[in-house]
Amino acid sequence: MNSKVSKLSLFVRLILAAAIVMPLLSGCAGTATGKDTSVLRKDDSIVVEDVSRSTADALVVIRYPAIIDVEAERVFYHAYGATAIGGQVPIEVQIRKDTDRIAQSVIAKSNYFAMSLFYELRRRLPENTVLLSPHMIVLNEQDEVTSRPILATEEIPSVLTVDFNVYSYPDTSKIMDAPPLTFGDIVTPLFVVHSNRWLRPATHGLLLSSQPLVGAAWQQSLDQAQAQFDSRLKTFPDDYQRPLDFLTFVRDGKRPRADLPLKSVGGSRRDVIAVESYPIEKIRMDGEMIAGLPDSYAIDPFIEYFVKGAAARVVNSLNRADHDRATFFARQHALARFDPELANAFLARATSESVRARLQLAEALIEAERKFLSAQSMSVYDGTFVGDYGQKMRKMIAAEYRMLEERRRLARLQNITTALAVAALAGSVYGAASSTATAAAIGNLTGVMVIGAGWAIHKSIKTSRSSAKITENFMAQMAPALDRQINVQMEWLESKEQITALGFAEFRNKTLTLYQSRVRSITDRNIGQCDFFHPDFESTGKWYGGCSAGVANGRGYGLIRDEFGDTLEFVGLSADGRASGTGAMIVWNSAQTGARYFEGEFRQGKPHGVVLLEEPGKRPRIREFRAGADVGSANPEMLQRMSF
Amino acid sequence: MRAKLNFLTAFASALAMWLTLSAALSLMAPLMASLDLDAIKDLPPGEEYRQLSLLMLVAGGTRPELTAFVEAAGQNTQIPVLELDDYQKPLARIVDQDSMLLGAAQMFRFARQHEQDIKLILTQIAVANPILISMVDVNVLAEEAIVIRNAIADSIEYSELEKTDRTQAELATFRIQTVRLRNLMEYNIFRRDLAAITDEAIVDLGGRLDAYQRMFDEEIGDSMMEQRISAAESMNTQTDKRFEERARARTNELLLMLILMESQVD
Repeated sequence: MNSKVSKLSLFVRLILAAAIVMPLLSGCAGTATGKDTSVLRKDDSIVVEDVSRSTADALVVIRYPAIIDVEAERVFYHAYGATAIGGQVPIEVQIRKDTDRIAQSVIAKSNYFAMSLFYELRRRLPENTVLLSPHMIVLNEQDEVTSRPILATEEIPSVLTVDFNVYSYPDTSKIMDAPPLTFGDIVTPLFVVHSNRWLRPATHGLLLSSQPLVGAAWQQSLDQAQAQFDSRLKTFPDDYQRPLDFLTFVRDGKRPRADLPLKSVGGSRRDVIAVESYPIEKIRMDGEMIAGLPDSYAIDPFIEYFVKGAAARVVNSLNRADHDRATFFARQHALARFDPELANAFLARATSESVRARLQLAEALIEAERKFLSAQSMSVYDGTFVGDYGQKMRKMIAAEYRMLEERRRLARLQNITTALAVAALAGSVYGAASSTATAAAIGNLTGVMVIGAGWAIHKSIKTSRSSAKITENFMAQMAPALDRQINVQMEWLESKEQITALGFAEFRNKTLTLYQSRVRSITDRNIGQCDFFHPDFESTGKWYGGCSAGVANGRGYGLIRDEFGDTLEFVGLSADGRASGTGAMIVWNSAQTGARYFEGEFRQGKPHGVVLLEEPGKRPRIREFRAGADVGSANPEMLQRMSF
Repeated sequence: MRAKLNFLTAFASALAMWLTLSAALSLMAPLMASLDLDAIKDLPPGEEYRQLSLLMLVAGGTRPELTAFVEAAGQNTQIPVLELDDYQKPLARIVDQDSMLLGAAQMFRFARQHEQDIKLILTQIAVANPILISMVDVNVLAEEAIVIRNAIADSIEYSELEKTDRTQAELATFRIQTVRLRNLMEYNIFRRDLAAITDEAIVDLGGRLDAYQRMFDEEIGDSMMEQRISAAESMNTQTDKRFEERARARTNELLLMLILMESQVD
């Protein structure tokens, strides 16, 4: 009986030991392995369909952090450590040098990996329609961290804008654990896709965002929409420059908003109007490819594991977007830069031959700028990816990969040895009760395992120390090289900025001179600015377009804001100062999340007839309206669409 | 498709000599009776292409209502007989409005009736003679068409036949289309000049950046990078080895403990 109990006890202990050993052996707990596929699905078969009327606009602008101003370094490093994604970083870690190095490396790697996305999108989209907008991290007037573009790319109307960067957890001792990381063969991309508010009014133009950045991206989209609204309402130049969403996140910390309309990437709620929330992904790339990185710039594992999926998602968004609606106000903004009279006529949607002809010249000018900036983007790509900088980055990434492999080896060793120690100790304890059982237990274990038990105990302690050190050691050792690398990139991009700015200024000067020498006067006498009203707004708004007796009458664009900050915008036909006829309207109640969009027929300022309705968190619907009231479903074939 | 078009030969020759269309149109009407599209095929491809293109540009955008008015206005014409050389003389430009309008009406109608055939011929010529057609200056054709269209529009304007509101609107549209033709011509010139500036700027920028890139590549050596990578790897190796000896000692201690434990039980 005693023997049976002992045997049972031994069995249980062995089971327990196995239960401890097996996960450790198989899972390498504490070692981030990453995923080898992104939730962003690859699809090479999707072809972009650009049916917009304008040939001037770009399809995608990629914004990313490229360099940092010396003045901004300390503030950025501090803010970076304080707003970690995936955990809280202790204050003593935040002030460590290697935390700064992580922040530095994020800039260098974002600068490098953004080129992969650029290359893939450029390969898939029409010529000169993908532009790069590298940003410099700087301080704003309040000495807070922000960013500004280096090139003039963002002055070109674009259907979509992509914010991209990679991320590393600021605490090197935790870098292999659960929080997101970017290390060696593992990359954590952060990704935001946004557009002009008019493309998706219900989300202020925000289409997709990495989950941690959703709050910052949402706020920035709202700020951008409001700034553009203000400039048109008060008739002053729109000089708002959206910083990188990631920088705003770092500056302001997390902005948890429970009421934001969100949906998962590629989920079943595809038609619902909401921001696609892209989860944090640790993308594990092919190790052999990473090891071979220094050999050639043509080796790009990031393409296969993330970029193709991201590019397919962007192409999908392009195909689902109304390009003219997306770029209408960006085009107006671009025109206002060099021809305010034409910009007003454009906003008024004047159709006369004099406006059409002048617009054709102006769009050719913007198209030429796009071509020039596309050449600049290509030279940034060549210098960053193909050139010396890219080669050095590949060496660093490959070196990181080797460090990571060493770390993994140690982690595996740690896990195995810990497991063996546990198993051996279990045997030892049991051995104290029954020598027979002990012998049996020991007999079930191999001699090597028993001999290794003592070794294991120590090894488990030792590996946990040394593996944590590796990341710190690597960052410490690489610091001068990283510094140099960033400085060199800084020098290169600054010089490039100077060269290209000079080149662009010369170019713009020549093209504007040519433009001014060729344009003819606009003969429309009906275009002007006058009053615009809405029954629900007590204040008087502004109308750009046809006017009669001082109020809106005819084609044009109007906007109003009331004392509570609620806003209304309308593009289309008007009569007696109010929306009347076919048009599109955005109504935003400042107390609510997201705006409502109406497109179709209007009368006396309100939706009246068959109207397309878009609201946050709901599917677009076609409804019958009477004097602003929704009275039921409507026949989609009766809908009169607005032509932007 | 045996449409008549012989008039175009004489008409286009007159244009080639920079005559005004008023004279050319006056010539066109008496020739209409013996026209067909095949006749123009005897011309060299470039000339055939030029004449047909010109016809389409002149007649472009005209509607049946305007054609009917123009035809009615030119019904009672007395067609002057002109020699080819006469077209270059100032006197030849003074012709009666009615004969010009009648010629224009026939041209509009002809262009509309044979629009598809003419477009097909133009395409065939372009496919068969790509180099030749690539050298055709569309702006020269546009300039000629603008002169002709303005002459027709003025003739309508000065016609004594009563004009309805509809006719006035059609005439305004015709004039706007002529302005559009002028604007398109100017756009082509603008675009050409703009492309030259853009290409030059891109080449210039590329040259400057390439020079900087070369300088940059030469200046920055690989040694620091290699040293740092090597140092980082070396430190890891040392870290690993430092614990090796002590670990072995601990293992031995543990093994001794195990042996001791087993011996105590017995």
